Amino acid sequence: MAKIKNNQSKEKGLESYTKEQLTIFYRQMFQIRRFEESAEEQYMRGNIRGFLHVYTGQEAVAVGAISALRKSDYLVTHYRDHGHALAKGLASKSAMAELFGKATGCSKGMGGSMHLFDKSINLMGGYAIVGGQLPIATGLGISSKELGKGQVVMVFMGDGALNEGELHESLNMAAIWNLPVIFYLENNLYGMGNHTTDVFAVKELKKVSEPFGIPNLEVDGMDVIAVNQATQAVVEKVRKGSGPFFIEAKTYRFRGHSVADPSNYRGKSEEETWKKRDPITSLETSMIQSGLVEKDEISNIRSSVEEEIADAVKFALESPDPEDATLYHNVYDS
Amino acid sequence: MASEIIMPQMGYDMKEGKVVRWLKTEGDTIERGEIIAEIETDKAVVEMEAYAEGLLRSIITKEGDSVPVGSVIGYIGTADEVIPEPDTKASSSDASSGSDPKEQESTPSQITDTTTVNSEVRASPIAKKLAKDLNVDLSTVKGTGPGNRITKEDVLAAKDSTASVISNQLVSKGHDSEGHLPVGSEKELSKMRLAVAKVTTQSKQEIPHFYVSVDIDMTHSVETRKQLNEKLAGQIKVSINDLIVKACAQALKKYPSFNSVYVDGKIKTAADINIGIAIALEQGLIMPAITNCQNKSIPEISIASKDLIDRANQGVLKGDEYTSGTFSVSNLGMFDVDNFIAIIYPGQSAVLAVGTIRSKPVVENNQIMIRSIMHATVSVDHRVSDGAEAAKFIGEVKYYLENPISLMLD
Amino acid sequence: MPTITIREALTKGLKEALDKDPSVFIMGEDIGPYGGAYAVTKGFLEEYGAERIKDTPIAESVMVGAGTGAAMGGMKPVVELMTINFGLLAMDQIVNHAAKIRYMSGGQFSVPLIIRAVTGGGGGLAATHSQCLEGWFASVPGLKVATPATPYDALGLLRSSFEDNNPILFAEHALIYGVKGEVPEDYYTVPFGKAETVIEGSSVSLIAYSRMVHVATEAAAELAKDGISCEVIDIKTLRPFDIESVANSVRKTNRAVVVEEAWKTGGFGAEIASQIQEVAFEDLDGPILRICGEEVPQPYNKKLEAMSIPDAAKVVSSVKSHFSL
Repeated sequence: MAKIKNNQSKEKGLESYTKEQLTIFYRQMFQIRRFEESAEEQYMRGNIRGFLHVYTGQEAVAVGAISALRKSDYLVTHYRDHGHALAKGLASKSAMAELFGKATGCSKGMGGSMHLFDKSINLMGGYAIVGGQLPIATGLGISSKELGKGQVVMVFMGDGALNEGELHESLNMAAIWNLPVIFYLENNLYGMGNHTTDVFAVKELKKVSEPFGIPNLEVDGMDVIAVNQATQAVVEKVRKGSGPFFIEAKTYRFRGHSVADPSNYRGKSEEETWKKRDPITSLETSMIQSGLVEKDEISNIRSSVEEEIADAVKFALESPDPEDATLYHNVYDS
Repeated sequence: MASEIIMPQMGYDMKEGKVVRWLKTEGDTIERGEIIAEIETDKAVVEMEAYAEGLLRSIITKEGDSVPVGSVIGYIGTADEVIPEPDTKASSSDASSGSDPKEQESTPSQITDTTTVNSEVRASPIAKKLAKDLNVDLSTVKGTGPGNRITKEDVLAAKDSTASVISNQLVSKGHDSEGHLPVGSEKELSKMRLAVAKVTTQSKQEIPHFYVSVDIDMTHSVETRKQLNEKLAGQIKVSINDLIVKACAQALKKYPSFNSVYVDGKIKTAADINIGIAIALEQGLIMPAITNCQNKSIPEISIASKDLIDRANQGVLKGDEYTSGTFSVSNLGMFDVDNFIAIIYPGQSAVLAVGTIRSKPVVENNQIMIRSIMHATVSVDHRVSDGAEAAKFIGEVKYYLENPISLMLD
Repeated sequence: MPTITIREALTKGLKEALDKDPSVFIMGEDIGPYGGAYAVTKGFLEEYGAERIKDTPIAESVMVGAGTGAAMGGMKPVVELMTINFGLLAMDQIVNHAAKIRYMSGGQFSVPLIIRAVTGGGGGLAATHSQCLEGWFASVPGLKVATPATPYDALGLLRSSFEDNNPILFAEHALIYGVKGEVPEDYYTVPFGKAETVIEGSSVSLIAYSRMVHVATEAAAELAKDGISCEVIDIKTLRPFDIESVANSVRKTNRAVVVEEAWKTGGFGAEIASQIQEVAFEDLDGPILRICGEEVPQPYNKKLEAMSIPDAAKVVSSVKSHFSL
């Protein structure tokens, strides 16, 4: 079983990245954070319908993992998909307009928050049936392998998906056919309100891959550098044909399961403990302490993100609803 | 529970009816839809169908007696059912009180085994559509489908026997267990003639007729009709007879005596002007009425008239359409007839007979002109009116037809 | 014209597609060395190799889901569910995903996926293996459902399926794989959503699909002996469903009979009957008759099993009594 060590010091990690790479990580994480905060506000204002599951707190996972991918690599995700979509390169305008259900949204207003698709960046969709994305990612692994384009498939799941049979079916098929699929578990400790310890017989969730002979590793999901380093190594192996891999990122969502969830099932002190490890603040502190960036540069990044998200909201607000006729469009490919 | 036989309402203004003749006697088997009696209304004698099947258990209203519409005149039921006394005036709900408790305990389904009340016509959708298209009255059709549902074939078969349906509606005849007779039989035709004979004889014997004739210059009416039809662009085709009906309606408003009937020393004037139009069928003459002519425009009269003629030819006129006339027009114009006089239809007080419109030389302003002339004769019940009023009445008709623009004003 | 079986027609259609299009591959349980539970893919493994003839684990959900993913990734997968009953294990992938991805992605992704599934009862397999569930799938917008009854249609519809960019459930009745019929040498296709008048008649329309087309045809021959002229309509695909052809037949005969092997409650025949009355109500000379499988889990015992499935005798007697013919 492959071992990718995750014991590098943060400082040592930082050193292997350019300032430009690090500011990109920072900007992406902050963009996701502000996007989600704005989305919550717009949800409260009634501009966003249905469910809204925000990614706040988990930004290091999406940014660290997905920045290890190429644009042509496939990304398949679940219903808490805004962070992944933005990290893959989905324009915030397009994402926000989709949350608003507008014609200018990435899915033309047909999918909403839980179903973000963008073919131009091989964002293969957010899937809202827990575990449903896993077989599809496996199939993308088949096409990638058979068509020989060298694409890697990265599929995200929450800890809740681990008990779905579809995961076990998918791990097995990916293993026997040696498919280039990275199964990425974001263990944020809760499947809605169920703590992982109450619903899993195993303590170490990554071990779910072991019966299938799929190598795994665990990564600190609050540290974008750690996530990126680990993922880069895995992507490289998988692209070379080593077969599927399983990564568990330990992370925490700072908000409830959805906007409707006040998180009564967990203590405030637990939340505060995790918030001290806020991935955005952590990176900022490291970058400033190591002398890579000045405070001003951080401020500039932040204000540019603020402006971008404000523009995205404005764009979404001003965009038209889909035409009536689109109700019947795209049921079939004709 | 036994089914009541009710004195039917066979015209909008019918208040009571007389049982002229029972065609069944107590104990006879009755099929639903079978003719069981002849009922005389104020205007005509009509046949009455059974709406239930079973045995004719009881005759309450004797032949020759009159009772208000809605009265129970008999009962149809099973052999062992308890039937209310003949003189019971109570309605059906009261009728069972004091009868055998066993009967009250019996369930509706047990009763319908032997006595089926036909509350609505059961017909397939295509049968209903066909019936509408072919003008077949489904209430006269016997269903052969499951649950006696009327099927497409039943309607087509009924269409073939249209002639007998017509005679069922107008003519009194002896009981026929099948409910209709073969088409064109000699027996059939003689019955129709019998009915005409009966009606005309009654009229001539009871009504003292007198007649007033005029020549009417139809030149303007002919021209007006032409213009009207051009204006209507083929949607409606107005006939000369429609103009005549309209002219009569206008004249009747002014002279209501001719829209009335003499009954037992009283003159009853009708509230509405319903003008019967004589339609010659192969089987005989009928006089169905265009109702409420006082409220109808010429195109409306035209539509109503065409509808009556069409349905008369298909034999699907409703009973009250035969009997609701309050005045009649008989037109033999199409038969190249110069003039004739008509017999008043019983229940009315006048009838207008018109002949063919002919081009004739007329002296006008000392010049000989060629005009379109129609001869018209009104027959009047002398008990209701006399010559002077009749002359004014037909003069009014003449005025309207010679100045047809005035027909448009109303 | 060569006469071949439905099995041979399907084999021909699959081979054609494999030969013509390198993105086509087949995956399913025991389609490799075993040759397929119903022998449609016999010899394929030797001819096309394990990359294109993929024996899968017994895991229907990933089988269909992987088909969906591969289709999104640019391939044309054929997934063979051994039987439609096993399809229940893949319901999430078929109904929640394959059927909806195109719509939910605003038309960005299509799922050109063929799901072959054996359907039908009568083979002594008892309740879990004897169901006709294609009607369930037919209720889902985004899916197409093919239900061929003849070798000609099996090949023609399969070819159309390969030319189609949508997820298709291709339901093959277990008991008619051996049915023979003429199939032309020249290339042809059979379109989805176009019913066919198998037998012309004037008094009764018998509407059916898959094996029940043969039952209806047999019944029509029996009824003809009694002077009752039946028209037999094979609807061929449940979705899209060709109501217009069915309605035209009913407008002619005025009597509609739906013959269906599935259960009456919620069966696809209910949809057929409903649509007939919507568009041709005034042309009906009686209530629409539905002759369906009995409302029981199919029993194992041969006699009882036969009682649970419509046969020609049942169609004949039901038609006569229902319409008083």
